[in-house]
This record gives sequence, structure tokens and C-alpha cells, in this order.
Amino acid sequence: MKASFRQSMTWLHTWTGLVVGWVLFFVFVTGTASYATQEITRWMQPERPMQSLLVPDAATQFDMAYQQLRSLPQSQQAQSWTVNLASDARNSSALSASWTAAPEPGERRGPTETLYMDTSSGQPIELAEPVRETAGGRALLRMHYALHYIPADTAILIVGLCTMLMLVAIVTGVVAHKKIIKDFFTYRQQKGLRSWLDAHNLISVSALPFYLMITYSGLLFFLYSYMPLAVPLTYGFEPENRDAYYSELMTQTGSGRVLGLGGGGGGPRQAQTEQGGRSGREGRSVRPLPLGQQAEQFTDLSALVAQTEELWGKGQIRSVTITPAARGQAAQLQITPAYADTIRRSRGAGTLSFNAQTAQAIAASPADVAAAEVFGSSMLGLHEGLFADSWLRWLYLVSGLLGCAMIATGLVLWTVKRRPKLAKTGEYEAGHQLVEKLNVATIAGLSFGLAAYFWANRLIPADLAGRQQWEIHSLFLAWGALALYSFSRPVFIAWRDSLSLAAAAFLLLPLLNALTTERHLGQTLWQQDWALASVDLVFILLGLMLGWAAVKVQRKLGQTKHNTATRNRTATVASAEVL
Amino acid sequence: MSKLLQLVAATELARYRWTVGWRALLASVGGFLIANLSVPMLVLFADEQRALTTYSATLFSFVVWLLVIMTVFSMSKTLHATLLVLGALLLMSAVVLLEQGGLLL
Repeated sequence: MKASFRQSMTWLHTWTGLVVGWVLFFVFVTGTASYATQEITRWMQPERPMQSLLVPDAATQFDMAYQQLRSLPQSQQAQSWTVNLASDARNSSALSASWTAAPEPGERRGPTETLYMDTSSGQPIELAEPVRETAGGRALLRMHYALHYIPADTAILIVGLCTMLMLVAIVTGVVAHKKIIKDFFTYRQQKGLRSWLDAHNLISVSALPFYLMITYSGLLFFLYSYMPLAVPLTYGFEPENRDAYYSELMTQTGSGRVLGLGGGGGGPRQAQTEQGGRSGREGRSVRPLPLGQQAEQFTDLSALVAQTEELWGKGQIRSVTITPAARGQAAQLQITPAYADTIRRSRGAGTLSFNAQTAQAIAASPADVAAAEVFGSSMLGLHEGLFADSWLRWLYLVSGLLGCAMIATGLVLWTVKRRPKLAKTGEYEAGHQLVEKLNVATIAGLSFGLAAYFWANRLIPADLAGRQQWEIHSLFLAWGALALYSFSRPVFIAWRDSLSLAAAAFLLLPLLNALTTERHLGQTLWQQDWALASVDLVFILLGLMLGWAAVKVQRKLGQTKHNTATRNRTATVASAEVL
Repeated sequence: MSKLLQLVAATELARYRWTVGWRALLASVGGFLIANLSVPMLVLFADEQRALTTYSATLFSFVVWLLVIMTVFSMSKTLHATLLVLGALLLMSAVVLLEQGGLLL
């Protein structure tokens, strides 16, 4: 393409990066927020109780909740009981007992009700107001691969294509470098283009392994949609060929499920029914005894919980689930650890199961899994980071934010590099203008939209029907409005105003929170509810960063004005001399 | 004279743009097909555990696509890139077709 390999790769890096940059920025911003999905949802449901200060041992907590589950009339017919302990696990600041009813025909899961409990008295906490419905962190999580307002199937293909180009951009970006180590330690301030380039390099190299992992693994979530011909070309184009492949694969991987079909990593519905035979509908005819009645014959469950806590350590039990005997299976007690002992994406890893009547341990299926499956599921596990404890989670968040910064600096770099040339020839190309404006509209606009999402959560009445959808609409309405504004103003002024607005929106969020709820920083810090407090603190941090960028733009604007003024003055003097 | 120069420059630019467009097509569509075809190709070498090899090869196919894209844009002559991609496509399809027809091995 160009004279040398390196030049060709630089060219490819520039253009692939530009073409998909805006979509990727959206994916990275919402994806980074998804590392705090549960924390964000909790922030968006301020009615939920705060961290308990006094946390008794697991058996005591379990007993309190178990007594409620056994005595409450509405939990007797449930299909399962779950006790979430106040523990070191993520999103586990409060003790709660919940029960899930049998699913309605056509539904996959029945409704779940939850009762929060005071860990010191064992009494249910009467919530002052019902917990509001919210789109929460899950909506952001879904948006980062399925976008919004367009059919999910199409969106997933769009995001996949952009991800593939991102992979190209990352690898060519690395290849294009002569001295990647030296560049990493270089930052030249106040040098215009050089500074942007240095910043882009520094940010990109600092978390390079993360970007590579996140991009490649992102492709594996929808493996078969992105390489749609791979399996048909090997096994044949008929649907039954495909099913044959799936069941063959499940036997050979030894994991009993197929990865790469999107969603929760479950198998294709039909193949899984054949394998597990537990999809349910056939077995409905024999009605098992309600859980409440079965519980009369259960062994001392809290002894099992105490025993497990001794084994794992204090605060290491996340939850305890009880399922009734049904279809020939014994009633079970399942104890889930705070953190899985594997990075692989595997449901129920590390969970201990006991027969609820005999207290006998039920052996887990042997984890003899093929290497390719270990690789694939580890990639997905690394992408989601569900295994990460709170420190590693912060690292994930920082890496994600660096990813957003990498894309943003890259997009801006493109315009900065071409600005002087265009200024010299005097032609300000339409294409260049469009990129400049799209940059403002996307980078500052989406930041503002995200802040608006949280504003909407606090301002939309808590009992409004369909308020989740309005939270999401608010994100896009605010974003759209700011984008329109950016398109109507000169680029630098648009940058300054949009960044300032986004900064203000984030900085004022903790204040709005304090005015509208009882879960503000004054409360959360005092109660040492770090998870909840950190959401407000991150808002402040984001606000400061956006504000810093706005100040930078303002300085630049001042300089340009000054320069133009000087130039005009010399021009006047010159013309006066001529006269 | 200047008009002639402008015309030459314009056609030069147009030519360049067509080249870029054609290479983008080769890299995207050609690369996509080659990546998909690389799966049955690799499975040819699998004696047993066909499904597992298919899965592994699909995991690898994204790297194949990446390499095709980089190759197409790094070759100095567009004609060479074209020949390479079309040649690879032809060869791979032929092998896969023969294999499925039971004519190979």
C-alpha cells in the first residue's frame, strides 16, 4: 500500500481506528461501567439497606433468614429459597432471604421476592419505600454489545465488525512502532501534535494486554455469529448438522455446554435438553411436596453452613440456596463461595452441595475439561471479570477507562494532525469538519448522556410505571441534544461547552443524591459502605477529569483568540504603513 | 497546463481511492471467507475429536482474518494482493469441496 511495511500498517491503524472509533467509544464506556454493574444498580435503588456494621457468623445469619423462610406464608410454595449473607462477596452488604415461585407457563424463571434483614436483631427491615424499578447497571451492560433502539441481532453484528477492526487497529498500532518501550516513557508537554501522539502512545501501551484480551475475547462471545460459515462448511448446512456438532462438542469438551452462542453461556436449547434432560416441562405432572413442608424433614442445615465457613474462612460464604426434592432428585443445600476459585466462566464453580435430609455431600461432576474449552472459557471469564475481588475490579475499571481514553485521544489525534495542513491550504474539508464534530458529539456527548442516565434515576418518580425505559431514553435524549448543539457551534467552543456541561452534570450528582435520598456520601462514608460510596466518589472523579479537559480547551481558546488579535493588529499596522 | 495538471491529479486521486476501496473489499469479504474456510481446512488434519478441532479452529479463525487484512494492505502491488486472496480462496474452496465430495483422503 505504502512505501514500507511500517507505513502501510500506520495507514491501516489510522483508518480502521477512525472508521469504528465512535462506536467503540460507546462500547468501551458502557462496557467499563459494566464492571460495576451490581454497584451501579445498587446506587440506582437507594431504598435498599446499607452495609450492616455488625456482621455475625454465617450460621447465625443463616438461621435468622431460614426461620423467616420457614414461617412466612408466602414463601411456603416456592421453588427455591436463597439466603444471601452479609459477606466479603461483591454486592453482599446486607443479609436477605428470598424465595422464587414456580415459573408461569412460557416463562423461564418465576418471580423472586426478597426480604432484607437486620443482622443484629434478625428482624426483617421494613423498607420506608418499596425498592424502585431501575434499568440499572444491567442496561449499560446490555448496551455495550447489543446497543439500543435497533434489533439485537443486527447490533451484535455491528459491534462484532467494529471489534474485529479494533483488533486490526491494536495489532497494527503495535507493529507500526519502531521503539515501543522508548515511546512508552516519552511525554512531551505543550507540543501540540507531539503531545497528543505521546499521550495516545502512553495510554495505549500502558494497558495493551488488557485491550488485546478484551477485544479478542469480545469476539468469542458470539463466535458462531461472527464466523457463521465455519461450522456449516465443516459439518454441513442443515440444522441437524449443527445440532450434531453441538452435542459432539459437549461430549468432547467435557463441560456439558457450548460457549460462543452469546447470552449466559448456556447450550443451544435443544442440545441441552438432550444432555441434561432437566428442561422441565415433561416432569411437571408429578407435583412434589411444597418446600415449606419438605423442610420439616431437613437436617440441621446451619451446622452444614458453620462447617463450610470453618473450611473457607469468615465472610467467604456468599449465599445458601435450598431446593426441594423433585423428579427423583433429593432436596439440596447449595453453598456458594464469595469468589469462584477459577477465572473460567463457569456457573457454580466452587459451590458445595449437600443432601438436605441426610447432610451427605453431593460430589460435583469431575472437572476434566479439554484444553480448548479451558482457553475459551477463560477468555470469556477474563472479559467479564466476575472472578475479580474488589482490588482487581478497580484495576479492571482503570483499564477500561484507559481504553476509553485511548480511543478518545486517537480520534482527536486524527483531527489535530490534519488541522495545520488544512489551515495552510485554506480549505477546511467537509470530511474533516464532520470528524471534528462527531468527536465532540461522541466523547463529550456520551459522557453527558451517561450522567443524565443517573440524573433521571433520581428525578423520575420512583413509582412511575415503565420508568426503566425512561431512564434509558434520558441517556439518549441528553446525548442527542448535546450532539445537536455541538454540530451547531465552532468546534472549540463546542468542546468547551459540552465538556463543561458533562463535568457539571457528574460533579452535581452526589449533591442531587444528597437532596433526594438517604444514601448520600455523608451517610455511606459514615456507615463505611465503601461500595455504595465509591459510586458517588467515581462520579466526582469523572467530573473533575471532564472539567480538567474543559479548562484545557478554554486555555487553548484564549491562546487562539490572542493570536488572532495579534495578527489582526499587525495587519492593521501593516495596512496603515502601506497607506 | 495547470488544467492538465489538475486533471492528472484528479485521476491519480480517483485511482488511489479505487485501489483503497478494492483492497478494503479484498480484506473484508476475502478475509472473511478465507477465515471461515480455514476452519474446515484445519479440521482436515484432525483424526479424532473433530468437534473440538472445529471449535479451536474457529477460535483461531479471527487471527487468520487479521493476518489477511494486514497482508492485503501491506503488499505493494494491488494486483499481487488480488491474486493472493483470490488464489487462496480458490484453492481452499477446492480442497473443502473435494473433501466433502469424499474425493480427498
